[in-house]
Amino acid sequence: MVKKDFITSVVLIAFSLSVIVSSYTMPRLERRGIDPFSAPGVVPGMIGLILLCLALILFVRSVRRGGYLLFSPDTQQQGGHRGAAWRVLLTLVISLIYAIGFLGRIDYTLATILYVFSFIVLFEYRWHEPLNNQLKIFGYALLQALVAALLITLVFRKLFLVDLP
Amino acid sequence: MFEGTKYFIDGLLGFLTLKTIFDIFWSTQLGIIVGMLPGLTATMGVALMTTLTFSMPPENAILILVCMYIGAIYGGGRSAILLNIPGTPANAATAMDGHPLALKGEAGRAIGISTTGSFLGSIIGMALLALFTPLLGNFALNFQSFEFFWLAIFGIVISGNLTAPKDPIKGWISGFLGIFIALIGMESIHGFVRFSFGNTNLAGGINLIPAMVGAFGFAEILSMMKYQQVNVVKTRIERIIPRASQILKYKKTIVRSGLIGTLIGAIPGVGEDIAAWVSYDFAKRGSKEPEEFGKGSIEGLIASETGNNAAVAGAVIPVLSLGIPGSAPAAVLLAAMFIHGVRPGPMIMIESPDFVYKVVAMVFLATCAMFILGLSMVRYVVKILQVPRTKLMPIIFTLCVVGSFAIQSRIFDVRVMVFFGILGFLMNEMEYPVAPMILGLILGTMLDTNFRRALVIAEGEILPFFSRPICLVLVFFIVLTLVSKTKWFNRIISGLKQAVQKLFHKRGNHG
Repeated sequence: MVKKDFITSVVLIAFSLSVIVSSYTMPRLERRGIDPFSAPGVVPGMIGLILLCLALILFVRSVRRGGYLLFSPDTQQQGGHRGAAWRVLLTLVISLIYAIGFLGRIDYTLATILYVFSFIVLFEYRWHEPLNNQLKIFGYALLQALVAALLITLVFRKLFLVDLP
Repeated sequence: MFEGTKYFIDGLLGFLTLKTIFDIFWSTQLGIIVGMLPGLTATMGVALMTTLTFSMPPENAILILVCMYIGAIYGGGRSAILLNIPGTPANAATAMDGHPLALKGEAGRAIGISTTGSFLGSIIGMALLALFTPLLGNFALNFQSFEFFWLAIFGIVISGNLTAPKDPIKGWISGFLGIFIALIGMESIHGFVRFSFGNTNLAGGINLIPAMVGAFGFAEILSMMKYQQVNVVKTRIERIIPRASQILKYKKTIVRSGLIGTLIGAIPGVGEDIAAWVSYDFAKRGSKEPEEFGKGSIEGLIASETGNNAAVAGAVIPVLSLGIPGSAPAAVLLAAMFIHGVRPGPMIMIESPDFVYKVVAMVFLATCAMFILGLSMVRYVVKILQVPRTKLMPIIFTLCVVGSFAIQSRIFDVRVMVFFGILGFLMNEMEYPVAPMILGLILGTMLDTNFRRALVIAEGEILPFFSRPICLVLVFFIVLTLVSKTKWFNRIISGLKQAVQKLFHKRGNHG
């Protein structure tokens, strides 16, 4: 965690400095004759300063505990961690393809069918077993994808009169 | 007082129509299911319901949201007992003793006790909601810009402190980051657009609902997919309704947990999870059998479930009286009230006092529905827990998409949801609590407007921020919260304790 703290503190220092600079350079609207104490940059500047102080405390603390030694031996990941990271990455990628790539470009129901189907198949398919033994997974995934997509479309659009992407 | 009772009875009678009762039952049951399913939190449930109830009349919509909220916080106990995975963060303490009970073959008994604890906790919370909302509301009428500024800072500091007890700095960073996010877009005093980088969508600001659906929904999906499937405990669920003697034995724990739960719930941005842990901790300290805690203690189970459900009503107190949420789901409830044209805050007791008591009636009805549903259909409802997460998570994500899109029909909000989902996940991984960030997102505008307004009133003087009586009290608590975790402060406190003990010891010897 010390290494993670070190990295986040560096990111936060850079972020808060950029907030302070952009707040300072923000127009003070003098031409409109407004009170300088109500200028738009006052509060962002103050928040940037508070964030900078907190990030500096985090930075000093993590440096004292050796957080800057980013490549020390204990950074090597174990097998379980690697599996978890892959599952998260896979979830993230297919969810991004659906939410950012598909929605608004192709029909909502079709996009949802594709997403639900591929999500189930990707996580339930056992790569080391022959395809013939696993045809059921495809069948059930397709059935669930169809039922879910149609039901969500129907319930939200017709019953609750809600707009869908 | 009598006027309040009258408003409460009027509100209650107004809700007793066949359609409303049907609404109460389906939404509470849905809440229980949402709470039960790991990956679907109360916040997410209330946010999705806000979307679904968008076109309903305000009172019906808010009633459904309250039912969903109470149902979900209660429902999370089921998966804590049967899976050892809390359905919502509020039920983490429940798993400590609920799951060992299930392993002993007493899952039914554990569910019955948790239902009764939740019911009693909710009733205590409801009574305090009716009592303290008007008092706090009337007191808050004295607040001016100076006080509102400090109140926002106090909310962030205390929320950061309590949601990240090991490392409060991370809680405060999260809170102030939330305030910064709230500053994106057009500010309310001069109409100047900040930090939008020419993007017209960003100029409109970040909406709370997509941000919350992302931070509590998508982030949760990513966290859940880290782990393989967990099996449900195979136990027969027999007697569910607990014996009265069993409950009466722990009446002290129930009352104490109810009071603690409500109080913690009422603290801005703190919420049900902390309420459950604090109640659990107090119960353990006051118990005759502390060694049983963690091994299937009935007292521990009652304490956590009473505490978390009492916190629901507690979290609504600042929503109604100050316009500040006590917890994450209460933040969505607050946003939903604004969407439906209700303006909670100090003026509510003057503008629409009846609404406050209507909310009390809503809490009462939802609590009754939760109690009835909690003790019936248990065997059938727990079957939902057997659905594998690989089948459940894609459905939850599609609901996250709909929930964030539907209110303003903007694809931009879906992107906001995805962004906050990734941010929330990374924050969880780095041990930064998400709740203070969401509180910051809500309090940001209040802080910004009131700080600048106060500076203008005081002509740039800083003194009025510290010289007004309420400001002084708030500053005192902020400083106390900031220093409470430092070593030197704890050393002074323990030194003082020892000195007092010595003094009393000497006096005792002389006497």
